[in-house]
Amino acid sequence: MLKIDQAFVNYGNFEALHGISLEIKEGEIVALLGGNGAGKTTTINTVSGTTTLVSGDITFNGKSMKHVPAHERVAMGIVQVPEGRKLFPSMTVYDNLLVGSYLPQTRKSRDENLEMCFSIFPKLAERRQQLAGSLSGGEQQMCAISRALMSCPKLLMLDEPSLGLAPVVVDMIFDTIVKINKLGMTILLVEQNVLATLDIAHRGYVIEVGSNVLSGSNTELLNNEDMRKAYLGI
Amino acid sequence: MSIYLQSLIDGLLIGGVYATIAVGLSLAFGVMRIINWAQGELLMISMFISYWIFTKFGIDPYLIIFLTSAVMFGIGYLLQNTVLSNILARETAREPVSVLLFTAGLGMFLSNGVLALVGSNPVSVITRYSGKMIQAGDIYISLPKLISFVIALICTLALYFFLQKSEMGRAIRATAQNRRIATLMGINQKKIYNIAFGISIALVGLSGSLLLPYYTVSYSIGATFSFKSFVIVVLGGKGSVVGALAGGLIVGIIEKFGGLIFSDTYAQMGVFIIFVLVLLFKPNGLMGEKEM
Ligand SMILES: Nc1ncnc2c1ncn2[C@@H]1O[C@H](COP(=O)(O)OP(=O)(O)OP(=O)(O)O)[C@@H](O)[C@H]1O
Ligand SMILES: [Mg+2]
Repeated sequence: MLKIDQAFVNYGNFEALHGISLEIKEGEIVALLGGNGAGKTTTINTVSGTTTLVSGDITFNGKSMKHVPAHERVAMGIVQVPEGRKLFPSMTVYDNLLVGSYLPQTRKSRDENLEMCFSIFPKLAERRQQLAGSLSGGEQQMCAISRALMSCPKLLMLDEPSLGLAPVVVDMIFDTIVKINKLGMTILLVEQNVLATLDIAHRGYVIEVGSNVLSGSNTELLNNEDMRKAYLGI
Repeated sequence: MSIYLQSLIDGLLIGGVYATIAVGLSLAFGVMRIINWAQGELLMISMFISYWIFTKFGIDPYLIIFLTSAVMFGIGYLLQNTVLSNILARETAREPVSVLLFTAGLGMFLSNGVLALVGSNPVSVITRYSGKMIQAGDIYISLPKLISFVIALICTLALYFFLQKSEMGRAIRATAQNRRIATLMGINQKKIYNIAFGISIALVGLSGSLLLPYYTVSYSIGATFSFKSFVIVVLGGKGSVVGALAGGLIVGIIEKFGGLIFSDTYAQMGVFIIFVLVLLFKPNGLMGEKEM
């Protein structure tokens, strides 16, 4: 479904990605792991198109994304839940969700999607008229995921959804990701919470300072020596 | 007593039109972080267009609003689509400086262009309702000012509801809050910028026609209006429609009361003093920098 082939990305003179490659098949949950500054956010922003590829290619369902502007990629089903939620703080929860279904083709299924979001996160339904900026961290993450669901994603990329959340909330968010995947959405999960992530992912990639270092199925990664030393401290 | 009430009403009536001009400025700032120094000069252009159409074809200025707002929308849209977007694309800062220089230059270009083409003589129009007054007790309400006020108010409120309730309005607000994230919702930033700047300039177009029935226009009036609009935007909170509306009414009232108690010149200084005070003590405006 998605294929990143030798992606190079620069910020000014600084090369953040030195040839990242990665592949996701339809229906999978794929983990993208790595420490701070490894280039995870850069990778998914490059897939979304808000960061530009210097060389290499990204193909989505066989079509090169190189010359497709970011907003059109959303229409194709490439949707992300950005790092740090990034809701529109002075809009209500409800308006945030409506902005998620701004595109005409997503407006058609707006009501169904709203219903789905409110059934996954009943708490959001209670808070729908509240300003998004005044939600708790967990509620903000629910709102950010729901906003992305409103865009009818085919590929949903989540950037560190567990960041700064209490363990119970993290469990709930990860359960939700599995649920969403069962509904037919393909998932790229960027995380630093390695154990919880490999628990739900089918496969994973590990990147360090802008390069691939490891990849494999969840059990392969969990049993890998280097992996255990570097990320699990075992 | 009634003289104060009279000033209050006069201030409100002109303030409504000030507000509409300032709402346009505020929208461009809120969405694009552009400070449009040419706002006043574009208003002057719209007044001259209205003047020209009125004298050539005898069309009522209140009917000309449809034309001037449409034409000025087009000018704003094209200006952003071609020039501004290119300058913006080269800017990395969130509050673009070279766009500021561009709009300041545009303002000078427009006022000097009008000076060269039509000269420095101020012009005004005489309509059927020029000088018509509605009397209520000791109070006289100028009919053209009242009509202009009502239209200005309706259009400002219409814009407010458009921003709050429509798909495009929500997309504009989302872009104002975070343009990168808005892109991730499938919102085409360039289109939003084009439309927002188009609306901003359309409001100036509208206001030009609304002012013409009772305001004398010359090549040099732009700067005064630009300045007033800045004061209003700062007063009401940058990027806020409701704030700009309130700010416009306040500035209109201050001017009239200042004129009544001191003189018109001092009234203008009063507006400036309030501007400085707000910047010092309430830099986010009287209403804070909130939603549009
Ligand atoms: N806008 C930017 N300008 C310059 N450098 C940047 C920018 N964004 C990221 N970088 C740099 O690129 C590298 C990769 O950053 P990125 O945000 O992709 O890492 P990450 O894996 O998501 O890290 P984290 O887990 O902390 O979110 C880092 O060295 C970072 O400092
Ligand atoms: Mg990151």
